[in-house]
Amino acid sequence: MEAMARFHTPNIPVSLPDTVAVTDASYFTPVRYATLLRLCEIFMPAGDDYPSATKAGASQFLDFYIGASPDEQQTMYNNGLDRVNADCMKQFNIPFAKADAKQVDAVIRPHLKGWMNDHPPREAHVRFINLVHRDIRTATINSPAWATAAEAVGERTPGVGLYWHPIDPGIQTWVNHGVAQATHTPKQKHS
Amino acid sequence: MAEKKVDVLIIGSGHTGGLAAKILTEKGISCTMLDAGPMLDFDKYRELKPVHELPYRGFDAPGRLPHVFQSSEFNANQWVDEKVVPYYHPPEQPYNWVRVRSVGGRSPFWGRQSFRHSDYEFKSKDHDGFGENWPISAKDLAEYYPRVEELFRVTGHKDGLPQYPDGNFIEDNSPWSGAMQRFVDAGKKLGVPVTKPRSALGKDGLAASLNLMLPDAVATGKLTTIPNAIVRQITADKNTGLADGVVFVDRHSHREMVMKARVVIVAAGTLETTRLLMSSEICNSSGALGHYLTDQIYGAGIICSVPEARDGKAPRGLMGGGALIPRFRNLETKTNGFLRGYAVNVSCSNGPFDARALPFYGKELEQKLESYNGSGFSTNIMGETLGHYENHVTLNKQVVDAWGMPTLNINTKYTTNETNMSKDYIDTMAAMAEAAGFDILVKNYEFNPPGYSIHEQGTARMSDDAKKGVVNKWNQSHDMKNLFITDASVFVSAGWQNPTITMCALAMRASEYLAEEMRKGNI
Repeated sequence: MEAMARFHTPNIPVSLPDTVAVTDASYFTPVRYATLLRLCEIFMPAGDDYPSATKAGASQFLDFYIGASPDEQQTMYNNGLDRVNADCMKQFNIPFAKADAKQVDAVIRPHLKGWMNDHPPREAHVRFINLVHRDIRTATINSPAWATAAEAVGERTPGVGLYWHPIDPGIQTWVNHGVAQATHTPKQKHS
Repeated sequence: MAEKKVDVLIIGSGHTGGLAAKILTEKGISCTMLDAGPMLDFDKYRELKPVHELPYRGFDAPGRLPHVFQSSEFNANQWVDEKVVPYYHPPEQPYNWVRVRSVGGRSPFWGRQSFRHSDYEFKSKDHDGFGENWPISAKDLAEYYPRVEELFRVTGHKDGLPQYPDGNFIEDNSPWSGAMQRFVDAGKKLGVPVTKPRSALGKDGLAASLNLMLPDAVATGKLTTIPNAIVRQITADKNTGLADGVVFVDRHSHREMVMKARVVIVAAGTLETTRLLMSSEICNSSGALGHYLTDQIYGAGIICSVPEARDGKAPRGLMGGGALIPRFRNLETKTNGFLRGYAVNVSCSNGPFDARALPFYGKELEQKLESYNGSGFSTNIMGETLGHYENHVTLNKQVVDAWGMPTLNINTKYTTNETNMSKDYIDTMAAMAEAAGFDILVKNYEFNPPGYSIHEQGTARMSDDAKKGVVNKWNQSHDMKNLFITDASVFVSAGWQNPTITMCALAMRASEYLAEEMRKGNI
C-alpha cells in the first residue's frame, strides 16, 4: 500500500485522436453537408501558413457538434443550410455546393453584418449566416491542424487558456441526480 | 456525539461571509462557516491548456449551461450546472442565474470593479419618487468603505463627483492614451465625465474571500470551515421564535446533519439566501421576501476602430487603457424616457480586432483583420434596473434539486425604462465616438437578459419598517433578531455600481454591530 502511494505516473506521451482518425459526417443530409462544406471553403480558405477550414476538419466537427446540440440550434442550421441552397438555386439554378466564387458571393454577402458578443443579428437567416461563419472560424482556428501549423512556423501554441477541471464532483449527485431537469433557454435568445 | 452549539454560524463563504468571519473572529467570537461546495485547490483543479486539446474545440459541451453566457469550455466546470440545481423562468421572461458553488463562492471570479454607492442610490426615492429609500445614507458607511477599500487594495483616481464618491485609493495617475484622451474631450463637450476605472488589485492576482479575508479569520484559531454542507433549513426555537441552527446535507453522501447555533448569518448569495429563507418558512412577516429583484443591464455597446491606429501605424501612446463613465443622467436634470442612470465601461485595445464586427469573409476578412488589429475601441453599459414588486421569486416545491431542496421560480422582466436607457446610452456613446474621430462599426442596442450581470440584488431588502422589509438597517432580521443577512439580497435598489464593495461595507458594519450586541448580551 505505501509503495503504491509513492508510485509516480511514468511519462507516456499521448496524442489527440485527430492525429490518427477522422469523424465521419453523419448528422446533416448529403445536400446540407455539401452546402456546409462549400461554406467552409469560402469562409476560411487556406492562408500562407495555415490550413483551410476544410483541411482543419471544420465541417466534420460541426456535423458532430450540431448533431449533438439542442433542437433549436439544429433547426437553425438545417433551415439556414436549406435557405442558402435554395437561394443559389433560385438565383443561378445551381446547387450552392457547385456554385462558383461569384455566385457564392451573391448568395452570402448581403447577409453579412457586423455584430458584437452575445448579440448576433435577429433576422433568422442573417443570424444563421453570421453564426455559421463564426462557428466555422472557431472550429478551424481551434483545431489540432491549426495548432500544428502554428508550431511549424515557429509561433507559440495558439489558444492557450486556464482550464478548470471538474471540481470535486459529488458522488451521489452525479450517480443519482445528475439528470434533474431545468428549463432551457437557448443561449442566443434574449430580452 | 454530544450536540454542540456554535456561537455564530455563517452560511456561505463568499465576500460577505468571509468578511463576517474575519471581523467576528478577530473580536474573539467563534464562527463556524458552512459552504455548499467543495474546497478549491488551485493547483489541482486548474492548468494551462491549448484549446485544440479540449473535447469541443472551445465550444463547450452542446447545450450545457445555456444561461451562463460567461461560460466557455475553459471555465465551464466552475459554474453551477442547472441540471443539478434547477430553476424555472417563464419562457418569455428569461433569467440568467449564474452561480458558483465552492469555498469562496463567486469571489474568486468577480470583475473587481470597485465603486461606492452615493446618496443618489441610498436616497433614490427622495430623488425621483420611485421605490423606497434605503434606511441608511452614505454617511452611515463612511467609516466602513475606506477599510474595505484598503482590504481590497482598490486603485483609482479621485474625481470629486458627488455621484461617484472618492475613496481610499491606491492612486492611479497614469496618463490617458491618445485615443482615450480624444474620447475624454468629446465627453466634456457633451457633459459626460470620463474617468479612470476603479478596481480591486487584491493580492497575488486574486481579490477573493479566500485570500483577503479567510486567512485572517483562520489565524485567530476561531474559525471552523466545513465545505460540502448544503443547508436545507434554518431552524427556529419554538419557544423564543429565534433561529437556533440549521439542518444541512453532506454534498457527497446526502447524509443529513443537525447543527445548533446562537446566531445565524446568511451569506449564501442573493437568490440562494432567499431560497433558503423561503424553504425554512422564516423572515417573511413583511411579505417582502422574494420581491423587488433587481440588477443591472449589460451587453449593449458600440465597437469602433481608431483610423490612425490601423495598418500597424499607431504611434506610441495612441492606443490602450480603459475608462469608466459614471452615471451622468438624472442627477441635476431629468432625462426623458427613463429613471435613474447608467455607467459605461470603455476599452481601447492594442490587441486583435474582433472578426465578428467586420462583415467580410475569406481572404478579404483576413486582410481587414490585419489592417484593423490594434485599432479597437468599445463600450459596454452597466445600467440600473428598477426593482418592481412584480419582479419576484417563489418557491417551487414540486421540483427539487439534487439534494431535495425546493427550487426557485424566477419571474422578472425589464421594461421600457431599460430599453429607453439603452437607446440613450448608444446614441450618446456614438456621438462621442464620432466626435473623437472613430469609425463606428457596430451599434448594439440590445442588452442581455436579467441576471447576466451576476449582480442580482433585492428579495430580502432592508427597511426601518418591519412591514416593508426583511432586515433592518443593521442587516438584522426584523423577525429573528439573531439572524443577519449580509449579501446583496438586502439591497433596496441596484444602482449602476458593481455591488461588491457596498456589500462588504454593509457586512463589516453588520458584523461589528452584532459583535457589540453579543458583548452587551442583547443577542
